[in-house]
Amino acid sequence: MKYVIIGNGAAAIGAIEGIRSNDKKSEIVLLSKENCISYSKPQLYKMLNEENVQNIYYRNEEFYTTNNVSTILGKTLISVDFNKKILLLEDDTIKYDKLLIATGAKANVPKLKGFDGETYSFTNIDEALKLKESLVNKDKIAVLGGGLIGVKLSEYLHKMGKEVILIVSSKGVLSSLGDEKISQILNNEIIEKGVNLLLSTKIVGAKKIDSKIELKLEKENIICEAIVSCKGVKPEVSPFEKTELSIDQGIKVDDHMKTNIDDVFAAGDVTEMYNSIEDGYCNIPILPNAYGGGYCAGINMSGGDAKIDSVYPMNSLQIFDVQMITMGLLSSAEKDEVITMFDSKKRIYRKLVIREGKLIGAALLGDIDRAGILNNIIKCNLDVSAIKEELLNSKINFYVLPRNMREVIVKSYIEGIK
Amino acid sequence: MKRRIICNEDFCIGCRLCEVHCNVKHSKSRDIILAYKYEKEKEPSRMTFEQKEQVCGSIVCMNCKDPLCIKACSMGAIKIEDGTVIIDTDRCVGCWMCVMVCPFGAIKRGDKKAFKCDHCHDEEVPICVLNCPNKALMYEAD
Repeated sequence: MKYVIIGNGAAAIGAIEGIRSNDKKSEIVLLSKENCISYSKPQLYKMLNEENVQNIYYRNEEFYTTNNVSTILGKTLISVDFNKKILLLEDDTIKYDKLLIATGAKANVPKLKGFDGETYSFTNIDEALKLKESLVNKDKIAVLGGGLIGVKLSEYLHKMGKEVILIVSSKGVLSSLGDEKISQILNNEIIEKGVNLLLSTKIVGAKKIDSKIELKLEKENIICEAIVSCKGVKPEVSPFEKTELSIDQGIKVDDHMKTNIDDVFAAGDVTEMYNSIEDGYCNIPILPNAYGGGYCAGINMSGGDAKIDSVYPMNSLQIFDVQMITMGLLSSAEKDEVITMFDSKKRIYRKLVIREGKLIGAALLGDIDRAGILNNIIKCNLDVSAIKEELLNSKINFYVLPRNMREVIVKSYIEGIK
Repeated sequence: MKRRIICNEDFCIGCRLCEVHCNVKHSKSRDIILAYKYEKEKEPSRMTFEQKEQVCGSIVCMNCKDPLCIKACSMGAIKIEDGTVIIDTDRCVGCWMCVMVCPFGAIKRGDKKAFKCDHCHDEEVPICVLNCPNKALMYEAD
């Protein structure tokens, strides 16, 4: 048996650990276009002010030898012949018996009209280092896009002493979360800390003027020295586009992380999976899904039988001094019940979205302690009709659940039953 | 071997001695008087005491079979050693992904580092279990 893994992020690492939990011996080959060992994408911002890349490594350097994995780093995959089970590289081919595609996602970099200079992005180490290098003699940076990457990057650039202009097309940052209050709180926080935040602003074009850049907005023109585009990411499916692999928003996988092709699995940011809350297939590019999906794929590739947990978006973030955790669906439909609590003095906000008695989404700002208890309530589809006010207003407490429910939860996690 | 501390809520009277002894165990002096009266920096309890009306009990890390915290950790800082889920505080960066997923709310936030019950892995029986006056806390290992 020869396992081949394309990619070197959390999904790939999960797959190695999943395979090795079943099969200690067979050959594992890992192919990655990035020429470095696995690192934590959520911690990429730290590359801007830390010299040492080791500080964001996802596993230690011995990981690959300990797990007997041969790595081919810094090589690009051209395409795959799924019938012959062969990967085609620029100057080589690799055969596989079981394949995992974990190529992740790449930056969306829209073309700016009239601009022939460099538009930076920030989704991997190469991009981060390139940006870092160019920042040495630049002070005024325009960040395009108010999603997670744009906001975190703005925070880090600001902390480095740069003048940051964050340009967002919607009314608030993190608007894709679907909660106006969160966007509003974060807008205020970002402005208060000194980032120049331009909301509801579209970019018309840009022009290079000597060492500066003139950025043309609808109402005004601004001068900056570098542009970083943070307009989201898209699954890296380019090597598979002309193949029979089923791809929509991402590579479609079932609850065993199998694609439509035999012996081909996929996991992580490159995939789309069934989202139990949305009742449809979604691309959810977050680390727990990547590692969990990779691990599940690894078990199934090596002859085991693992089913992925229900997946839905969730995240834990800190934007300047605002700590927050969000999970599930926050943009409610008409039929949903939405209850919120806001304490402006303590800067605490909590929101619960309830559909037919079941919790389907929750946001915690300020006080995030024990958020996992709510997350598990979402995951297990528990009825919260009788306890919703307590869940909203009290400190989160496991004992808020009725005893029979608590006992079932304890048993299921101790025994590992899904 | 998996270590587990389970609370039988029928016997818990909410005395919170489990928290007291947990603090002492993790204090510098490991002496109850010194720890409570003289140590400046108090070690927070690894246990969480919970109460809803008459129902109460303590809850700690359950050493899940398939721990969600390990999958969610953005730094690969959580692992299982000798059946106990361990947080490597050198690697932990306080991203709180573990807090986001722990179904028991058993992972706590310290100063930029997560911490949790270590099941007193250097003791034969966890200290909270030894000192529970009503034997509400039970220790299991399998």
